[in-house]
Amino acid sequence: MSTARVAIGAPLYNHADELGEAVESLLLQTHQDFRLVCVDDQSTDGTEEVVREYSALDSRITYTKNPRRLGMIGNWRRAFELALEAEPDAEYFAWASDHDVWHPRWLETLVRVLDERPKVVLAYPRNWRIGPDGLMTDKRPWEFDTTGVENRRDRFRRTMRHMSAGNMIYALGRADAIRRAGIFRHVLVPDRLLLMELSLEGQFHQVSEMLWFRRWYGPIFSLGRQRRAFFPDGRPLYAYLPWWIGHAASLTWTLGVRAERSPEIGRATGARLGARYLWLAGLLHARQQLKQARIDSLERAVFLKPLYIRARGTWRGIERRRADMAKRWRRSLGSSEKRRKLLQRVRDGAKKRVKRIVFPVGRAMLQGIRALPLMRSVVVPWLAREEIDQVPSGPEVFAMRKTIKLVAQGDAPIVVGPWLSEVGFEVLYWIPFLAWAVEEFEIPPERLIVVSRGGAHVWYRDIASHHEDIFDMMTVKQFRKRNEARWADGGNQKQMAPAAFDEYIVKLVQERRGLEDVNVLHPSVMYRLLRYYWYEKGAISLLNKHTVYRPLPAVETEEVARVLPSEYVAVRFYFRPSFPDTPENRALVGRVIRSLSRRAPVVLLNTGLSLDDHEDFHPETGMGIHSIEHLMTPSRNLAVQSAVIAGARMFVGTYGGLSYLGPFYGVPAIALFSNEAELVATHVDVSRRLSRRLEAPLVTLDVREVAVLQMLFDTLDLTPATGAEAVDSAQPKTEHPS
Amino acid sequence: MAAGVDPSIEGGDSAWLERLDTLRESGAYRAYLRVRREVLSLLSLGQNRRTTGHAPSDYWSGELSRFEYMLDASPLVIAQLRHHTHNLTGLLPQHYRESLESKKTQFAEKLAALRKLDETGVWVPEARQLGGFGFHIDGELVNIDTLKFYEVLIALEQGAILGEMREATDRKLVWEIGAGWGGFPYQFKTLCPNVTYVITDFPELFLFSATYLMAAFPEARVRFYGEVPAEETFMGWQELDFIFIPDTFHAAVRPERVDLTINMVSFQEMTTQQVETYVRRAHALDCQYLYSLNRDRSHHNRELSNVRSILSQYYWPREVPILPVSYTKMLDANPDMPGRGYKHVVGWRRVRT
Repeated sequence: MSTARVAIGAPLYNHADELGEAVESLLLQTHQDFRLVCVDDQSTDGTEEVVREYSALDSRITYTKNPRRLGMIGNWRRAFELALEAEPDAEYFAWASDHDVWHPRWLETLVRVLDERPKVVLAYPRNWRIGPDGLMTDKRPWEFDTTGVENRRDRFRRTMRHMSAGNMIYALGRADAIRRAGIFRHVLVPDRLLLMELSLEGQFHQVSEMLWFRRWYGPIFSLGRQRRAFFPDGRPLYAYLPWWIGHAASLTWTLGVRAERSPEIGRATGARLGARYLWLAGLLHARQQLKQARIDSLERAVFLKPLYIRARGTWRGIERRRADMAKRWRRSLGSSEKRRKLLQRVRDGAKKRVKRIVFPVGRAMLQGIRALPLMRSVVVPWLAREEIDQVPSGPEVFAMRKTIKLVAQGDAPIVVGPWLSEVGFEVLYWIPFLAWAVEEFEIPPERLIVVSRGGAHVWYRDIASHHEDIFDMMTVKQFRKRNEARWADGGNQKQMAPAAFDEYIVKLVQERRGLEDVNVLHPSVMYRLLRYYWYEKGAISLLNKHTVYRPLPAVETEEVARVLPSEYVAVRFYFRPSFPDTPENRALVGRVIRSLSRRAPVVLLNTGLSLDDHEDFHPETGMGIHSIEHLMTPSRNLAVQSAVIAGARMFVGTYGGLSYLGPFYGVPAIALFSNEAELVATHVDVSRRLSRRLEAPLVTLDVREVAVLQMLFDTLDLTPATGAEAVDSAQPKTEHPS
Repeated sequence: MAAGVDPSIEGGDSAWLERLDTLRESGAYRAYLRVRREVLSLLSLGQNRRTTGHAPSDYWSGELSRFEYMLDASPLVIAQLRHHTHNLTGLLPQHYRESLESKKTQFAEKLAALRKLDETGVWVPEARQLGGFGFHIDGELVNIDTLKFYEVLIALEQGAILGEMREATDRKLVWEIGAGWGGFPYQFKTLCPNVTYVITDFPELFLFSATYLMAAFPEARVRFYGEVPAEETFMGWQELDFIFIPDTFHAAVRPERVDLTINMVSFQEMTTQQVETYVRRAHALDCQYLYSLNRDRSHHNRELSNVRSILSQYYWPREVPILPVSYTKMLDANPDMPGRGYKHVVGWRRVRT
């Protein structure tokens, strides 16, 4: 018979990647007396396999899969019920998320708090946030505590004002108190309501140690998302009410009407609490709305920002002067407590009266402005059409269009670039974006001077008539030094804003071409816009609307063809965070290249140049493996690599820059990675869409799927010749065999 | 004495002799004599192992030969032991002259920035004994090592490890792989007295670290590998403060428990196999936490894949960001290039590897 003191319910849904670490951190708890009940709400990503592996190791873990999707509230409730069913005598309960990490002493510390403090119903630690990059963020830990607050009404008010539901809901609580507080009620923002109800049950205690590491995916809270996640079988009508009205109604119903609480909270008190909730939450909500409205309006109307800052400065000045005057006045009045209280009352009264007048007037004014015919017929539909009022990227779209429009005006030559960052972004985003911009703003190719490096101009031939190569203007060493300095200054390789180095290159271009006046279409326009998509703040439609994906212009292959076998596989393996330099990866790459070379000649795209911070994999050449390093020069290495890829039967290599080129030249490509955490999902998604659109497969493979890769190779018939014949036929064509 | 010799020199001579006698009787020198005896014995014990594949790398062979003189150090050398640690750190007292105003300001700024991050008070200044040196800031000695150790302690605090060690009611065992001249163990032991600190290093380095620590903690109970039969090295470890195990013998002993494994700036210089051996051993000893301050790989080291990747096979690595620059730089330096700087990594033991 089970006798664990602590029951932990883990509602799971599609977090298989982080689940292993989460479960392990629970298994490593120094307080071992607990049961972990995992309830899977129909995950589709391997969650079940992860939990089953651990439950086979440790009998304290049980796994249950819901027969149908219950949604978040249903799943959380079920996790509670099943955990308490498994451990009916458990005194304490906690929900555990499927993606956070707990310090080994988390449970020990919280159990001690609840054991030692009978008035505390909920105990939680301070926490660190783990950012999307896996690093702990430098955000200061959040703090809130009601220890020692005996008055229920006081606790209720403080909890309403200062709680942070996300930071508290994974606390350790008294199981009976959580049950009395209704577990998770079927409302929006249910964690908040639960905590409010728990505040009536007892005190909250926060331990000062950092014992919980909370993954933070950014501000993803939205009521729409909650409606979808909480009510998978259809949203009830009340879900469309403001959440705080729903909470107040729920409180009034459970406490005031049904009196589902201890005798201490009678019906009258319950009804009062409901009303109080409505009032406090309404105020809080209004304050948040005002703050949000201010942020939104400043984001949309950027030109108002300086005015706002100025007005705020003036207002603060007035406030300071008013405070000074009040101080002087108080001094002159003397310091008796009565006078101070009188002043306070007068001030509060005045504030209330001002609020009573200003708020309705403001609201009425806004409604009046919205009702204006011009607003209704033009502005509001335009905002809706341009999605400016709907997506965070709206203002950026507006700014981008304005910038390109300005650049396109007049007849001055347009410098496109300079492109200084990764090849991958250039191929996957910058060129398609330019293709779109040129069409959208009808910019003639004769006006455009593309500035890139390494012979990348071959990719722009159908967009621009002119080009300049950076390596014709400076040495690789100079470029690397200044580019790395730019990178260090900006904190990022991405060209989010024109840097001094960009301006220097534009000046060099002007000098070389004898141009006095040029317009510049800088990559920052694209970077600033598409980051919303990359970081999942904007939909794929943002990308689709502002890019044109089509095959790259044909590249001259005559020169390289002379030194290449007639049929071959192009290969480029290098190490990067998503494919780190490990003995396993080196061994795998060696095997892949050897295996490929047995079926067809392999041409390595290694440059032998130190152009970036990637480290090439250098297999031994010979035996069907060809090196073309002798063709590579700084100013044409990308052109040569493009030509080799364009003529290949297939490309195989590290996932990233060059692997995207395959589909653009109609060549199938296989791109490997081994550390998925270092991949940006949106790039992978785009590369897959791209390969479908261009009808040339780009297969991105985790090296763990290498067995599949092997099968794939076995089924491919890359060359009619056997390996040895292919090598023999290829050898004489290579002028510089290694 | 020959005629014409200044009598003050004679007086001076006797003063010197007297001082030498005093120093010879000092605790630090007596500690050194004990350490030297043990080191010589460890070196002869390790002779065979070194010739059978456990030899230090070329880099370390060169480094070790530079301070052979420490095997016959005078009391005056020991009295200024910290000045001689430049053999390991490259730091000398003259780098911290008070006349170097702008440099001192940089140190003060960095210290202030770290103090802001320090919520629980883990600052330990450079000790003044045995020739401790550094800039005088707020009446305390501060040098680059002091700041580095402070950063490490903050990272351990923020990684929720140090608190456990500081407040431990049961004795904890901490294992540092490569403790250099003993500066960090001194700080750690000052903050967390209820730990037994095990140091694995080249025996020659114990001439610095063991002497320094035994002088800093005169009451400390110390054991060297080989003082008792190997299998009894950890017998009664709760009663000991420091245990010194030479690198060639770390696999020959098995402590009952290890609570924290620490490595600073030496994994990055090892081969993949060496790092993996240490990390695997920590894992096999059920060590809950592993802390590493290393770059992913030293630029010149071609025999290592990536420190973090190796750690992650046995520990869940979690990087703790402290300052935007590596410990080697001051605040006004350019931030580290992504993937290049030193990283504070706190690892939690994996249940499944």
